[in-house]
This record gives sequence, C-alpha cells and structure tokens, in this order.
Amino acid sequence: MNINLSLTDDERHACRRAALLLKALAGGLREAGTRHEADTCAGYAATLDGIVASGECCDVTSDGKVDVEQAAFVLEGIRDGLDNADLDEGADFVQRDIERLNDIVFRYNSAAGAMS
Amino acid sequence: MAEQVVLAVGDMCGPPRKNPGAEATAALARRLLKDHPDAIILALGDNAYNSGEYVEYQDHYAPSWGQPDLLGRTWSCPGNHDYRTAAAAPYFQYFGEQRAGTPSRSYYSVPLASAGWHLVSLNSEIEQDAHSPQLRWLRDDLAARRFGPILAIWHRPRWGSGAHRDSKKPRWFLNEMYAARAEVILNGHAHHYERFAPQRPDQIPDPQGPRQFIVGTGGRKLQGRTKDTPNSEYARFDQYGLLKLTLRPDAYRWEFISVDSRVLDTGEQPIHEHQSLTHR
Repeated sequence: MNINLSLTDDERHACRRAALLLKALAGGLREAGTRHEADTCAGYAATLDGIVASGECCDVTSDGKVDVEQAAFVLEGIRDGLDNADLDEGADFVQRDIERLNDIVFRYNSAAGAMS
Repeated sequence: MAEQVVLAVGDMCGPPRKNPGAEATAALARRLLKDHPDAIILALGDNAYNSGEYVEYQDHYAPSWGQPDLLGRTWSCPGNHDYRTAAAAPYFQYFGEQRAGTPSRSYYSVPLASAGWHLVSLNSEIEQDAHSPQLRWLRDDLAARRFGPILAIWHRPRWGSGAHRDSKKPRWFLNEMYAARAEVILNGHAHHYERFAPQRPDQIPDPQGPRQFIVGTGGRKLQGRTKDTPNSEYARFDQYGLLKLTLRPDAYRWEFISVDSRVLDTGEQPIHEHQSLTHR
C-alpha cells in the first residue's frame, strides 16, 4: 500500500542521520564478513535516503515503512551501546531520531487504516 | 458482583526457533482455565510473528493460543508486527470486530460486568496525540463508562527497563488514564515481565496513578535488561509466563506465573478510593 506522507523537517533530518549511521554500520559489517546483515542495513539506509530525497511529501510503500521501523530498531541498539559507554549525549540524540522515525511509522499506519 | 480473572500476555507465536515459549504459555493458560473457567484472555499484540500475515496466524497462532477454548475468550490489541501487513488487516480479520475492532476503528472497550471493571483496548501503533480520532474516542469512552475501575491494554509501553526502553508516544494515553484514575495498564512489545509502582505520567510516584505491567513473555525469544527505570518494582528477564489478574469491585490481585506454574510475583491493591463510588 502506497501512502503519501508529509514529513516535517525534524523527521527528514532524523532519516538523513539514521541513514548515515546505517551506512557506516553496513560498511563495518561488510568488513567483518556478515554480508547479509550489511546488505540489509544498507537497504534500510537506501530507503531512508529515498525518503529524504523526496522532500516534504513522499510516497512510502508498505515495505518502505517496515524498513523505517527496522532502522529504528537498529538505532535502538546504537543508542543502548552509547549509553553503556556513558556517551550520554549521543544516546539522547539517537533516541530523538528513533522517536521521529516512529512518528513516520505511526502516521503511515493511521493513514493505511483510514484507507481500509 | 463477583470477580473476573484475566490472563494476559503478548508477543507469543511464530516460528518455533524464534518463539520457543509459545506452546508452553498456551498450555499454562489452559491449566489455569481449569480453576477459572470464566477467565478471559488479553492478547497484548505481536501475537503472530513475523508480520501478522493471516498464514502466520493460521500456522503459528491457531495450533496453540488460537485453539477454540482459548481464542473464544480472547480480546486483543494490535502490535507493531501486526502492522507489517497493510493496516494490520489479517490481525483484525482473525480476531474479528468484536474482539479487536477494525482497521479503521482499532480501539474499543468492554464492560467486565461480573467484577464491575471497564476494559479499554487501545492501538499504540497509530497516531494517538491530543487531536487524533483515537484520543477523542478515548475521552468520550471513559466519560461514558458504566464502571469506575479501568483496565487498559495497549502494545507499546510508556516505560520499560528492557528492549526498546521507553516510548514517548503513549504519554497521551497515560495522561488520560491518570486523569480517569485508571487502575492497571498492560503492555507487551518488550520480551520480559516488569511491574511498576503506581505513578503519575511524569514518573512521580503516586498511589492515585495507574500501575503499569509489561508482559511480553508469551513465547518470543526473551530479551534482557538495558537500563534501570524509576518506579520499577519487579522485573524478570528469564521466564516465559503470563499475568493472572483477579479483578474485584474493590481491589485487584496480580500473579506473574511462569510456564512451570511458579508464582514469581504477586500482590494485591485496593482500587482508588473515589472509584468505588462511581458505579453507575
């Protein structure tokens, strides 16, 4: 199901930063030899980059929505790791981006329900 | 009025390799039903992994939690994995409108008349802020309820010490629950058990606030602690099990029971004082 969503500046910046983190993670995973995970993370990043490139309004597919949610889950791990290393400010910033990604997911779900 | 026994759990069924506890929690529910034949079941979302497809409900939920003796007494709220299908349509189709709502109206309430409680099921996977249709419905529903004590369920917890940690979004639900002096909130999402002290939406301890439980111990692989959360009174990260609530007009009792039938956490609390007068 394709849904056209209006994105806030905060949401687009969160997508952009999340894509950067995921691409860095994918690079590291590829070096480590876990190709499937590397490709999957790179795929999430590509979805987020596509959303950012669309501007204020973008078409989000159901697969794209799942990619956004999965990206938020990966960011949860990064947040927890930063927190464990006492890098509190970084953990807080990542948490804010997780919330913005989740906002996109919730809005997609609401719109999909309204169209049913 | 007598009492109402409630068995609650979320995050249950899926491929056995990733959901090793689902059969055991369903068997536990069946054992408890022998002593409590009028008990109801609350499924707290993410009931069939990985995507809430209808075939996943058929293949994974139906053989255990979906057997007629359990399914026929189950009310549910949707989880994020249920929404990996378009508008969670298979989830709503599987449970039916009366027990789950519909894709366009995914929240509902049920009077638990035998105990004089009000059950409200909310959807934490869609918009829920102040101007959302869901929150407007919630305010109207709580204002018109027949019974005072409120038991609310939704999937994604506001507070949590395990995977996913806290979620800011359900604060809107929590504000309404606090204003209505709700008693109990049940969530899943994180795969552990946790009980909080009654508290305000801003985490200030308050005996007039609702008590939140996380019961994501239905079968999906368990997850560990990631942080300490204020007002968390008890947590287990190593046991599959379910929460048994015994609701009475003047109090409620909770028991977290592991799949080997051990009661790991139990207690009882009177309902908020003013609510014993609100039965209409």
